Amino acid sequence: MSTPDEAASASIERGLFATTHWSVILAAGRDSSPRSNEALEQLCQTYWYPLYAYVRRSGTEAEDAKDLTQEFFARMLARRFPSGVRPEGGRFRSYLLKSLKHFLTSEWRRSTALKRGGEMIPISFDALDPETRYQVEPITNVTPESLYERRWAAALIEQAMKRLRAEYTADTRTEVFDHLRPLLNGTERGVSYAEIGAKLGLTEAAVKMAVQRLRRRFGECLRLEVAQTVETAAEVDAELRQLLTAVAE
Amino acid sequence: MTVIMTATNRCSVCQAELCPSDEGNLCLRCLLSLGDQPADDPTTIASDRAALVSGHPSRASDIEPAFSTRRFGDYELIEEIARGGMGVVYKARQKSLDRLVAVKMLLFGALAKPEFIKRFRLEAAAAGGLDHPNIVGVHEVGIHEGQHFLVMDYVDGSNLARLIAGQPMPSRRAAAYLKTIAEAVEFAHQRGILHRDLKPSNILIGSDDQPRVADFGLAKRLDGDVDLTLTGQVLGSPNYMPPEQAAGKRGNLTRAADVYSLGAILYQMLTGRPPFQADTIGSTLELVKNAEPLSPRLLHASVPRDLETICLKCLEKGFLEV
Repeated sequence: MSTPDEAASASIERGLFATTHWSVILAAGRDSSPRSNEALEQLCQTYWYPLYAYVRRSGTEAEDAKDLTQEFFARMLARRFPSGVRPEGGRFRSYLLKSLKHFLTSEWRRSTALKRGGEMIPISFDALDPETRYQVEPITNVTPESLYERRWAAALIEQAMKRLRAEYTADTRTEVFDHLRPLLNGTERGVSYAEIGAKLGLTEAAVKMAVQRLRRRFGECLRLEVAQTVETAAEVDAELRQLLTAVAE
Repeated sequence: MTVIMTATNRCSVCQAELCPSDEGNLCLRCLLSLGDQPADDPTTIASDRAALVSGHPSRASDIEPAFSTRRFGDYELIEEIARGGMGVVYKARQKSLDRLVAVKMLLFGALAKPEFIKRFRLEAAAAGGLDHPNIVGVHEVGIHEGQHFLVMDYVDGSNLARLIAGQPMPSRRAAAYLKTIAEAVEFAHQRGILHRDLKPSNILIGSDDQPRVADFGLAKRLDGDVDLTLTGQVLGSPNYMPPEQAAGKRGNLTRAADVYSLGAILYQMLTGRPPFQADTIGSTLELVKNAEPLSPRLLHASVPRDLETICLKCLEKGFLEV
């Protein structure tokens, strides 16, 4: 059994906390490498919608929320990080939300002249229009923070799913993944192992085994994604449990 | 009336309501919980991945299901056989008696909500007192290393939902199943237990082709001393619940509630679809409360008239007691 420090160290050696880790990217400054820039853009794309959902749930109209979120990320990409919010250490989820709040309450007011096309660097946040996506959010009393955490969890899951699908695709087994995916969280919904086995030319027992492997590997992919957003490997469990609590509310 | 196929928006595993914008309509809570089970040895990830994507096991341990050697007190967990309600069910061997059993464990371990634990205990208390050949028996309930579990009969077979699979079944067979299920439910009623969540997936069909009623997780004592459901929460499966349950009037539920669900199960056996279905839970509940079901004979002309009468009688609205 290793200590948390040893585990963190081992994780770093395996590349979990390599140059693409968010704190490293943000610390890189304006003279960062193309890889670091690319990683930052990827982070912004991944977490664009959770922040948009936060801004919308805070009472901002759709067009303004879109502009605000876009401007916030444009600044992040330009490495104009908000002063007073420390980029090093901690959880990316908390850092990003704190930075956004800082931006919304202070910097935005002083820079409205730059909005709507001024210095904006448009990023491709999603093929799906964010407002279309927002309109199907449950109409409940969920606070902006809770919605943000829920959408953050969804973004992590989406990334883990992409990673897992890419692994199957790399081995020309995309079809297997697509058939097994609905079984990731259960066996109901009218989908049976036998039916999927018939489609894939596998026995029912083989499908069961494949689903167990898929679930286990999905869990590992998810942990890898979470690891990108926290300071040390030892914090992965705590972050996952906090998100579990957030989505269970 | 246009019938829209049901798009389930409640998780079949933990019953959490799903949001259309969630990942492919999968449940965030369940998917996150998959990450909350770290591999025993992180260094095996790479080799596991290789086995996973190639489909060819790389080690002897990959050949066996993940739980093939997992021990749990007096039980050896063999494989996961179902996820539903609040728990996951494993096929297991009870070592001391050398018999196959089903071990149901509460999902989320130490993170399980207190009301889930209470309902889990309720299931054990309700089904534990019912010794009937067509009710899945509960043998033991307890906690092992912080994990709540209950041990039940292992039924080697399928369930009625899979058997129906969207296709009507011969009327005589449907009637025979229903008679046996109704007698088992009557047995429970005589002992003061309402099931409240009768549906095809809760009816197990053994290799002897005999149905067995399972999952008393939402059961309630008829004398009304225990109701562990949450305030304002509509519990049960919308497609099979009576109008009074759909309206959230749990306190008024009587034996007629289970009779309604039996009618809904018969309807599905005869026609291949439940009596009411819509694209959201809310729309389905509205239909349950306010609409009349289509005549089974309109959907399937070969349904005997008497069986149709029984079915529609069960589904009549406004019953308070039978």
